[in-house]
Amino acid sequence: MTISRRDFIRIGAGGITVSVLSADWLRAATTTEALSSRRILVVLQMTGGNDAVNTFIPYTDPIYRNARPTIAIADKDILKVSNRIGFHPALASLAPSYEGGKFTFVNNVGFASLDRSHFRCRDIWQTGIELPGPAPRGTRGWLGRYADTYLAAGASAVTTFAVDLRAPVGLAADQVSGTTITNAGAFESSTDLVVDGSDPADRERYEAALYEIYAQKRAAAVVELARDRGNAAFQAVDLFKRLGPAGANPYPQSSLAKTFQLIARIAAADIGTTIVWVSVEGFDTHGAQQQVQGALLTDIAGALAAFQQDITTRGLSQNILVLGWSEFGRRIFENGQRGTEHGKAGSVFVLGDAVKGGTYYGGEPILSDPDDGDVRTRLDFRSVYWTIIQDWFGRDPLPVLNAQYENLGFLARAGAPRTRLVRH
Amino acid sequence: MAIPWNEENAAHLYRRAAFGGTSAEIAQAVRDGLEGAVEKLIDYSATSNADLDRRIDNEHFYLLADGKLSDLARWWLLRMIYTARPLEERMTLLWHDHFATAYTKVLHIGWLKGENETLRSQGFGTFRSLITAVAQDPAMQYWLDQYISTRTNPNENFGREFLELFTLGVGNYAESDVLATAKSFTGWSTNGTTSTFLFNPDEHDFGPKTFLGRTGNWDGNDIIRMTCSELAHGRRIAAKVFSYFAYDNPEPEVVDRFARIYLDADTFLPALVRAILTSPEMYSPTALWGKVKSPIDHAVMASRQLLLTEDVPATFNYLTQGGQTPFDPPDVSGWPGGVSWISPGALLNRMNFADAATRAFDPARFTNGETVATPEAMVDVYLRRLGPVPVPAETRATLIHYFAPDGGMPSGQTSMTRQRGLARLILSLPEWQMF
Repeated sequence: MTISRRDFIRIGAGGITVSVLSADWLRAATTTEALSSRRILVVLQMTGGNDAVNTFIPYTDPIYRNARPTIAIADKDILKVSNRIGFHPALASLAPSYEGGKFTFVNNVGFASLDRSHFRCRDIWQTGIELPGPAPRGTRGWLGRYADTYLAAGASAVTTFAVDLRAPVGLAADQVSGTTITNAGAFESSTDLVVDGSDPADRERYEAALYEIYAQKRAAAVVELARDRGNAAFQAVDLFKRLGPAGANPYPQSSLAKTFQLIARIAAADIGTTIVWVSVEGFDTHGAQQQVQGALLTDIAGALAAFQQDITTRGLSQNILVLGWSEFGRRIFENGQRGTEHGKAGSVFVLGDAVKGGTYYGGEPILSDPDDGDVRTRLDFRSVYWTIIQDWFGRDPLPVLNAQYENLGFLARAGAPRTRLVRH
Repeated sequence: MAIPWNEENAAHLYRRAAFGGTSAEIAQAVRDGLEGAVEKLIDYSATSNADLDRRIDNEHFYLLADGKLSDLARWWLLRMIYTARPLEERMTLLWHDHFATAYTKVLHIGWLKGENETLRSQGFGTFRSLITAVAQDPAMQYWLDQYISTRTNPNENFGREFLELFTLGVGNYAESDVLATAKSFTGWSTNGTTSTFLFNPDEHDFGPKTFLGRTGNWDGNDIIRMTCSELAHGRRIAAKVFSYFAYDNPEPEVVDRFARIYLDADTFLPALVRAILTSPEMYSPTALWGKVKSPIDHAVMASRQLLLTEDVPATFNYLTQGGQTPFDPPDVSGWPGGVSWISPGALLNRMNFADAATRAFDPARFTNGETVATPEAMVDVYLRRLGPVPVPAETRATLIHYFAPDGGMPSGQTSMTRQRGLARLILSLPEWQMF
């Protein structure tokens, strides 16, 4: 037999008190009106520095082919979306979403002090703060500040949720500590307290003792933090038990696709998850770029296309926006080893019903006007965040970003009727 | 300042410089005194590892190019659990995180094993010889694209991480030094047939380069030599090694003190480690139980301190789900560590590992030599032998209530089941996630 945490709380075994749970999260998670208006942002980190020039390709720029004798994409393979830009062929499965106005991208995105360091640049993208060195421990992420500012009331262990090898800095918050799992494939086993089933009575007593211990306050701050995370884990176990099965829509066979399939289940279960963080490693293509980047983009496009289908079938597509980003773009000229070195500005993409598609944003990378050999930054990445906070979440971005940035206009205003731009 | 030498501090030394001590090891360390105990850990080349070698031979691991990552990980985990030279594995783990290479890209089990052996054999001499061996190692060469870096096309990947992560840290060099480093290492390549280092003079840039303000016809060895005498390098390695053994985010004056010791010793690592392990900071309240266990720390310490005769089945899967797949760190900066290890999902995973570990656990072996007449004494034996773990009085009371709900001393199978449960609960304590 199993005993769920809810049952356990109700029967009050082992002397545990209900005060362990701040009951707010339960209320928030079960209030239907709050849920129907809940919008989810899924952030996809392309770790390593995705080569934007070969993703959204400025194929008519005369420098493009010159700069990349071995890794330029053949003209016949490029999926042209305007007379200046075309997709990498690996993005083919997202082409219908672009056609349908639900997928677009923003070019020339970066920041002033971009220095080609993976770690500093990643920290800056994740925190939204241009620090001179690595972000000190305890620095909050931009989404962590968003969660603290706008989601803290009624937050639960799954308000923010990450599938990542580490708890992402982007979600680091003072008040809203979410759940990170490393592998969606192991989700069911890693979100249950699998205890020895051979002795059910002992299992109950073990769980009771465990919950009781985690209800006891500690003196040391770091032990308190572990205790807090443990209670969040118990809460997450409970909430995740509400997830329904995977939908009928097929997904490709990949770890990333499994992650997006899980995200669709989380969205459908209405457990209060508002921000999801996913990372894909491997974009640091100093060599063998065509094979490596092609495989990664195929994986991403396949997973996203299946996800978009799934959430559309489930009637959830108006509730979800996906943002894809990478810490920097790569150098315009290839490096002589069928790869590219670290560069500066890159591109971000967005996918969702709220996207004002049919066009792309930020212009094209101008390869003839490089910044020390790299694509020049023309848009600050925080204007992307500003646009999302303002138009997707319908909140004031200023308390989160602490400065004014431009609204880039790639989303329909929150609550406002959607407008469509005319296609090229 | 005299450092009190007692069970608590000896156990702390063994948690940090070994992977946790058994009660016999702790008792011996107390008798040896601080200096004696530290010297025994440091002077490990005098200790035979024949039992470990035999155990590993008997596994008949297949660890060539197309071997399995889980086998390679288990090969190393067995070393960490059953070694007679625990500081050797501690140093290897430190360097595996510092010179992080990952299976995800290298995809060559033989090379990853070879690099691990390099880190083990070179990891406790001078840092200069260590980083030279690492720079020439096939896994590292492939991981950071060094093997294809040529005179006409110097690849900056290795050069950049060499300066940013391995030696100096951001802010202590200019962008032009990255290119100078890359040029100096051109021609350092790998013989793919023999999987050994190859210096290819045809691809080496013999011309002048300016590195850290000095101009010369530098090669990779010159860059290593110049870098390893920089104060910024001393600080970086001192801070890294100190944080590994003592506590995170050391004060600048502490870093400076150990940087001086390290540089004065010409990057000889035993001098630095000895100074750290015998320092007052090492046994300060900040240090004791102040670091978060990594998944590897958690699994290996549990296996050692529970006196398991075999490793826990599928430990590899628990490490992966906990965010620390051996030989597959997330990127070249290694694992972020610290509180990032204890996300809610990772904690659940640790509780599940505790479940698996205590299934294979023999309570009689664990409590051998102790006279245990009361439930209180039983709980205290477990807390002491798995720590001593400092828990609040009410937590101790909960453990006692779990073990003996009606106050009487359980016996027979009930006692065995509950002793397993006791061990499982202790391994799942918030305190036990620290060390």
